Amino acid sequence: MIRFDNVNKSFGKVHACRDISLHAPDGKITGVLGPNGAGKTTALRCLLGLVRPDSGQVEVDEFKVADDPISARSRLGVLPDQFGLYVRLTAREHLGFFGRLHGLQGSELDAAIDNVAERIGMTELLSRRVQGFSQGERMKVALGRALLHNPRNLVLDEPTRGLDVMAARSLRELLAKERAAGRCIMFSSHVMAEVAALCDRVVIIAEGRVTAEGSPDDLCQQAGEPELEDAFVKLIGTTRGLAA
Amino acid sequence: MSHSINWLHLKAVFIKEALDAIRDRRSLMAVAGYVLMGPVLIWISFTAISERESVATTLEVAAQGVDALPGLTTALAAQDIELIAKDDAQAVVAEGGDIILGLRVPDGALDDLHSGKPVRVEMILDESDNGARRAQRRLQQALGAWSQELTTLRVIARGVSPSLLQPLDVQTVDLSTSAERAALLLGSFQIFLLIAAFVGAMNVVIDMVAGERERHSLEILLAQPVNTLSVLTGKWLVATAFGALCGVLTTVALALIIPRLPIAELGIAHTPTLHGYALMALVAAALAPFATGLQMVAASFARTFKEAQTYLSISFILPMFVAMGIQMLQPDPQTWMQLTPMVAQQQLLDQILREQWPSVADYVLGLGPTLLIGLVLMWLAALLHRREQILQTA
Repeated sequence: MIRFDNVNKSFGKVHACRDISLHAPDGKITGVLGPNGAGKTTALRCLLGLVRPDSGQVEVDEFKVADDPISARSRLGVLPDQFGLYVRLTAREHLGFFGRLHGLQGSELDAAIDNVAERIGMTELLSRRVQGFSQGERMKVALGRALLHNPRNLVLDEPTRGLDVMAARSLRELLAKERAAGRCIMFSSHVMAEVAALCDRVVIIAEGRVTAEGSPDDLCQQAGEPELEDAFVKLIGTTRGLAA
Repeated sequence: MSHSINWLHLKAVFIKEALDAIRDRRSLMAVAGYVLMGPVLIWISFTAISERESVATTLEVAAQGVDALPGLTTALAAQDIELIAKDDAQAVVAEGGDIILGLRVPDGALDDLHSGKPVRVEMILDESDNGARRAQRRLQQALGAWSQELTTLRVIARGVSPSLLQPLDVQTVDLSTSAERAALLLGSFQIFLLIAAFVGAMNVVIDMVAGERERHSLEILLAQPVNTLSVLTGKWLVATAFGALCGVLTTVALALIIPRLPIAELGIAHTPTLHGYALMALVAAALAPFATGLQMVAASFARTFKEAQTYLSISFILPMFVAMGIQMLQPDPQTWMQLTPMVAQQQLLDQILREQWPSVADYVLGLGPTLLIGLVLMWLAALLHRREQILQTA
């Protein structure tokens, strides 16, 4: 479970987050949509404890991020918008490193790596160095890193970006399975069809505020538009950031 | 929030960074390049000095009218100066050939000599030529000696003791040992040892601090359940190992090159012993924790690889100037010197080269504060990684 309660964060005169409150429950996929510069990245950094809110609080399961960021982070699996991979390491070395940071060791770590590689179809990539990987292959390594320690909560920023049709399809199936297993999944995407198909709930953020939330159908109804993309444009109230 | 070191996290970071650094060709090339460059530069400069200072070669001088001064040719030949008779010495020197110095004795010199008048002799050279000026000094010295000899003969012939012409007999008593004389010259090697750790650690630090930020991997790393102290300590240890390795290898390279240098021709018969080299390697390696800490702090302010290269170059040029200044000014040893990184190590290297072996207490006092300052700098870098600005990228 991930919860934001009245989170505010400013950088000088820029209000990146204005009173953001949202709740991503277990067993659901919560989509967070917003144009570029809407405040999603700052909100994510508040969730990870990398940025301290000016006011309000963020919780991951029973942990308040401000009080115990280490425990909160141990409950999260994160796929950021920039993969941040180490090109001189093999995929297995990558997963091994991050697994150790989550306390996995020895045979338990090896088993976790083999398991996650099989789940996302990257077994044949394990012994290769990341340098030379395609965008889709890099995405798999980053996704494997997020799933490796079997976190209760997954935060995925545009996870199907760069994936071919088959890989994107199998990722959506994987997310559906994870949801069925009771995990909380927070997910952002610019592909509205994907959001409409996958998300149970959608939170729309624009100019640092939550401007609408509900199921994709609710949002379409609120906006009086049949398509989610049109509803999204109407609900954010501006076209700023959409072209970027 | 826990700020104490988590040893499992530290070990994980250490293994990952060591693997990453060993596979980074730039880091290895920096170490290998430096280790090879130092001795090669030293060899070239020593060979050049030795050739310049060498007195073994015969100096050829174009001589005009020297037959008028009997005994001069023989006297100069004893000093390895060969007078080659020419009709126009100035024209020979002006030609710019192998002969760069001329000696002209005007007509009537013999008469002047017999009548006790000073004989005018002219040395002909191009003063803008360093080689010609050195040759001139040599010839002038030899002519001075011959002139002195004539004076002595003249006063004896007049029944006067030549010692009357020399109220002072000035002698120099050199108290330096051969090890100390060698240390003066070998002191120029110190700077290579003092900056070795900086060079060895530099690329590793840039890659693991600024590079981490530039490729956006820092954010995902800090998003793990780790504290910055464990992460930065792991990184610090790897870069310190590279710095120390560079210090040791540079000493090994010096140990291999010094016996092959033409230092005997410069009047130095003494080179450091194996024991001396081992202690020099220890001192050079002991700078690595400080060098790495300083570079990590500087790199924490850089958002890109290039920015870090600029900051880190400054971070080791500054201490290098301090070390060079101390070497030039040669102040008396004082307590603050033992507490100051670079200066403390320079003092120790100086003692080792002079074979005035430092005591264990000297090593503890000379290396301890530097290690401590390195640890404090590493801790400061960890603090800097807790700032929100650390996530900003270029």
